[in-house]
Amino acid sequence: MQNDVEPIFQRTCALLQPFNPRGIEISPDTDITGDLEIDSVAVLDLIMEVEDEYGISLPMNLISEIRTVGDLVRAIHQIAGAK
Amino acid sequence: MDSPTPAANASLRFRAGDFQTLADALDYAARGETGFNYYSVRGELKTRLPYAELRTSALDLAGRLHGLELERGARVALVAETSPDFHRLFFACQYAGLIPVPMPLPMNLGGKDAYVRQIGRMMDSASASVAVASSDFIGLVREAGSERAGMLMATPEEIAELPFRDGFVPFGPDEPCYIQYSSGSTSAPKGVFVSQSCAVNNTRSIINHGLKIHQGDRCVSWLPLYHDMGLVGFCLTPLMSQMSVDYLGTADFARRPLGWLRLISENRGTLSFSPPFGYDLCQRRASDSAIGEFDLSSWRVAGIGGDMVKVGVLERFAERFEASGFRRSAFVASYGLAESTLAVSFAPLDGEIETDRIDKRELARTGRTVPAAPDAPPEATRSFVLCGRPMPGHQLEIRDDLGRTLGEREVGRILIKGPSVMEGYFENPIATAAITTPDGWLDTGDLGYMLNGQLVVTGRSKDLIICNGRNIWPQDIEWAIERIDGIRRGDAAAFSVESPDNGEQVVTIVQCRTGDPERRESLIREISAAVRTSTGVDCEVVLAPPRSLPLTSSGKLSRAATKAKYLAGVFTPSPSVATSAVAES
Repeated sequence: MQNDVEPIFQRTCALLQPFNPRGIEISPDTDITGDLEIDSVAVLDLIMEVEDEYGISLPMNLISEIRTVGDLVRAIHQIAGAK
Repeated sequence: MDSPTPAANASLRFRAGDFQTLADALDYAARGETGFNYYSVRGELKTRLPYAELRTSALDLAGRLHGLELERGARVALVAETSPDFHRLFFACQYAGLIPVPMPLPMNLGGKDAYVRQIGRMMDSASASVAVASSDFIGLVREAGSERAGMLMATPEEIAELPFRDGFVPFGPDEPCYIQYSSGSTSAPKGVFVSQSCAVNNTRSIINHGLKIHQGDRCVSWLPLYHDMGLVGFCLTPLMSQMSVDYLGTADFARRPLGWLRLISENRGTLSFSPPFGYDLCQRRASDSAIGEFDLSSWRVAGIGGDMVKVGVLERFAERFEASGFRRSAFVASYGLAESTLAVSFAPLDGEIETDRIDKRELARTGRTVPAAPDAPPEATRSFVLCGRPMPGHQLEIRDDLGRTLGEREVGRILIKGPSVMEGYFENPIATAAITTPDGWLDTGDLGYMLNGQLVVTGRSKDLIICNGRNIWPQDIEWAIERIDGIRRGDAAAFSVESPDNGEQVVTIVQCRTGDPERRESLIREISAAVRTSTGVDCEVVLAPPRSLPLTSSGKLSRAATKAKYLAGVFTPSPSVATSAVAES
């Protein structure tokens, strides 16, 4: 990952910890709903935390394309950067 | 931004839904000041759209659509965001004699592929000639519609730039109104074909009988406009009675549920509905300070629909928000389904929620509901909520599996008849025939009984799973599993069982051909991941040997028999990651 996304990646990993009861190592390739244990309501909690953390709003069309932790980090970077 | 549209018109006379068509109703409402208001996730008013402005832009867009020279009644698929553009285009179709088909929005993280397949099948099923979505979603629509030759796919802005052609004729009283896709699984969608007559009859009954709407009532809604409760309850009913509506997006509500209550509090809302799940979400999120800020005393009808009403959830909500001025007599239970446009019955207004506490064993043994003894232990009883009498002109009957009419307190299938019942599913006579009796009743597939003239619902359409207010068809879960390498068609069965916390736990039984423990372990993980990604629910995965799933006499998978075998302990749960994770949560 590039330098400016590394802090976002670290922060995102921290937000994802509650959904990682098996304690797997989270990498940019980790599939959020596949490898972690997060259902549709918990996803919205996570999205809300991300939005509050960065003061952004993630549109639904973008959310539907996010599969991996790396996708989420890139989306945050893109939206937060555009502000 | 200025203030929202007023709750009541200054001089235009209130009319309680006595219109022949939606276009007539909009023509009339446009003479006043009321209309729709759209709020952001942070509670700011984004757009106000008085009915007068809605009518002007709908008429303009109708001319643009008319310029496409489509046959009368051609289908226009609309991705139903809670936005002014959706409303403008929905009513443009009414003026242009085209049938709007509201389509859902993606709701899951990583759910893009499943969503594209879903709307692709809907557009096919409706044979859509046009599909419209905002710039956020048009890419997904283009992907879904890439194989539909000749279908125009455009944003609202692009529709507005088409050449205007005069001479369009609005839908008349004997013509269609819209097609709604909330029935049937994603893999085989069934479009409820609603006529103008059904739409005006159902809304008129809601206005005059179900909710007794009067001048000054104000609606607040976050319900999706691609579902009957959102579209009919909180778009068409307000239009027919010239009410103002304050809208919050569905995804915005799910993220910040208290925004719903804040809007009711600030705008003095009087009518708002939700499945039980919405009340539960608010009750769990509310901090004490938030409760002090709200004034919910204006809330006259807090309706519950869309799922079985669970009394405990409502109790907790009423207790939590009593300090905000919420009155528990505002709760109104209801029963309805898209096949009946929306509503069938409402419990009486201004009363407490009425329940019937019955003996569980007697019900299982005889199919009759007998009041439980006052000292019966809770585990031997079950409380069901009374959902009211059918609205005038609408009929209800309870029948057994052989079609015999049952009496008071006997549990059977709920059948309905009346002016709101659809003529059928769009271009799907087989599915229509499957739910129509020879004597002209519609079999809802739901189970219930009658008590003092009121309907009591005990179970719903037999295979449907409802998780967090969302309807999930087991076929869609099975379908997601069957796409995994090494699993074949017919290998998976999905159903739900009651979980210890009164919610629903999804269980999947999957036939597999490998005995290798490592391979089995990874298969279980792949299955739960596939189910989570496609439908957003956690499930318990149980592996079973080939040919162990029970079939019906016609060779189809029997989910009910599979569930019975599971509950009887026939399938040995695998000592798996997925199972243990479920047990912890």
